[in-house]
Amino acid sequence: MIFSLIWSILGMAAGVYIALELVIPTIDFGQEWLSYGRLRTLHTNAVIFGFGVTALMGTAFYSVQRTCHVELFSPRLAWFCIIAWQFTVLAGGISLLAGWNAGKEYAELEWPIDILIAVIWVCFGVVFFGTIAKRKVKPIYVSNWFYGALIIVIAMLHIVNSLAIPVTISKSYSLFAGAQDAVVQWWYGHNAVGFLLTGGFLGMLYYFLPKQADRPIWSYRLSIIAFWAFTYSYIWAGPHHLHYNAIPDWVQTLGMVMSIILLAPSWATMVNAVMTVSGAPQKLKTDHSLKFIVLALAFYGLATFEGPMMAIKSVNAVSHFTDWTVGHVHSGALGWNALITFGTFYFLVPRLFNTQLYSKRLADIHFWLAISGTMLYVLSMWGAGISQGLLWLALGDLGELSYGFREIMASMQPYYILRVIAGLVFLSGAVIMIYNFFRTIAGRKTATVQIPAPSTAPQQPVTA
Amino acid sequence: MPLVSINAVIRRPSALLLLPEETRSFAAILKKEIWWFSLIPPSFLFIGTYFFGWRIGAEEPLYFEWPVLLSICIFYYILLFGGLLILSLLSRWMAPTYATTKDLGSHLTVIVTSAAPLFLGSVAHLYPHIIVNSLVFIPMLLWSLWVLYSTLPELLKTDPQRGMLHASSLVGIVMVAGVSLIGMSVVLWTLGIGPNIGV
Repeated sequence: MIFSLIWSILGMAAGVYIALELVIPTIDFGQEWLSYGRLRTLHTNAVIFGFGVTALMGTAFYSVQRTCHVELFSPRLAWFCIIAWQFTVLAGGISLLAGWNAGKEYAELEWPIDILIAVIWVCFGVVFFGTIAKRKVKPIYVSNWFYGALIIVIAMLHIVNSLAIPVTISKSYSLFAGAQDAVVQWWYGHNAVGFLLTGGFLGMLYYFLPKQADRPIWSYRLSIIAFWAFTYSYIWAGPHHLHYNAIPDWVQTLGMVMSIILLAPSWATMVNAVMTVSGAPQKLKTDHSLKFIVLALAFYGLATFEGPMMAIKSVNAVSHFTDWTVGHVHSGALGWNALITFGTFYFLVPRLFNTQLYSKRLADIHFWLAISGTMLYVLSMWGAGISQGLLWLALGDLGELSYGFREIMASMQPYYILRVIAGLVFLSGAVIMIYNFFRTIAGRKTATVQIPAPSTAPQQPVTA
Repeated sequence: MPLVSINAVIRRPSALLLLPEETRSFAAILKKEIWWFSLIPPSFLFIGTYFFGWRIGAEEPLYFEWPVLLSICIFYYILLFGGLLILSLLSRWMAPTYATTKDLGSHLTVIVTSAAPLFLGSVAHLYPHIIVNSLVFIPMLLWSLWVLYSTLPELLKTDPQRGMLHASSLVGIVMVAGVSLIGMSVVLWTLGIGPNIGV
């Protein structure tokens, strides 16, 4: 959790800095490592792999013990995963700043780092599934299905998409070429979003939401149906990133159709979660973490609706390559991933240290900064994206393009300034949260807890 | 009602509860209040655009012929009027889930009250510059959110916790509705209805 928080600040700060570079380009001071191209990849890698994956590893190890009623399969291997992952992300970040780049979005890291990732991920799987294998209850709770899918699918995606021929230690060439490379890349790229940023965090949701609400999930059956529908439909959706590109038209259409179908399991999960929390409103009075999760659900609903809509080809014709996509990504990343992680951390920190949160008022302030920052970000990028789409495509009376690149970029300045403000607002909230946590745990030792024994009642899915 | 809403926004939400029941009925608000309340932003937009043009970042401001501008403002009006009604109906639809009142008038009151800061902020439309409007609408949006979360429990007769859940659901609906409108607009553009774009 501590590592995850550190990466969150570093990653978000890098994001704010590159947002500022789009307003004041000279703040790279002529340094290559400070250039937009290098810092942007650092930003995405730090928040996804540093902040996100570290949080997922930590919460997976925490929850799998409680839902299986056993200790981790190999605590030492679990520690290896966590520590080695930090070094890998750090090495990856440094390599990106140095200019090593495989040229694939969200898979920019070069082959030596890719191998490290694969090894650690396999170890992650060994610990997780080893723990599942020695569980004391027969049912496998739904959060573990999502965490399990995260581990298996990400391993598959990462290994296949990273297949490459190394030339030097810092350069390799993909085993795939041309349109095939693009299809494989976005099969990876979209499912990394699906099984890591959506599925993995749904695992987090399905464990921590019932715990915080102190009641079972509203419909366990719906959660299982949603899991399988989600798993089946997500894997086909990648080609919507390649609309109007040099891949077969039917592949594009398939990606579009499966993306639209994806709305059903996504919203089924949202409804399930909303109904769960709506049955325990009294918990909101005492539990600040639940507020973050409620808000995260609102943005989850938005992002999972917006995604399929943007996958429709006639919408994509305008939205593709614009900042609307950036806004969509951040409604998910800030509104869903970050907020549910913050909510989980607000739940965990007092319990891990057997104490009370230092300041509920600071948590409230963080809540309002988070909602303000996210909304401002999304709205500014909606404005920028629609303007870009229209200006790029606008035609004059003779059919010529009406606006030049320079003119369009200049028109983006107001939106980009708003984005910087939004980023600063969101980042300041995260800093306040870390200060709150620091004061909460200062001078305290972690609590020692026993793994709860299984219930003697007839076995049924429980939240432990 | 709008004036009372504004008063409630600025001072205290319970001011709305002091109104006689019949003035807070759905029909009364619909007939006597919303139709002109929803006229405020389009009117400001018409005046501002006619004299100053849209200054959305392009080097030259965008001017419209007045019939085009009028049609934009009429659609804007329909959107606001319809949006307030649909939101109140959706809010009423969610009432059993969050144990809030089933009185449709109360739900419309919440929606109108929460929208009041944004409607007030539409004065910025008198000078349709992106920065000016952003500077006005950002605080108005936050104010609107604050009003929604703080007034909803009292107006819909529920506890603050259920009120928070109901308000968050409304925020989610508004966001989804917002992006749906953008999406539908884009589909119309690609079908050739609207601006002349090369798709």
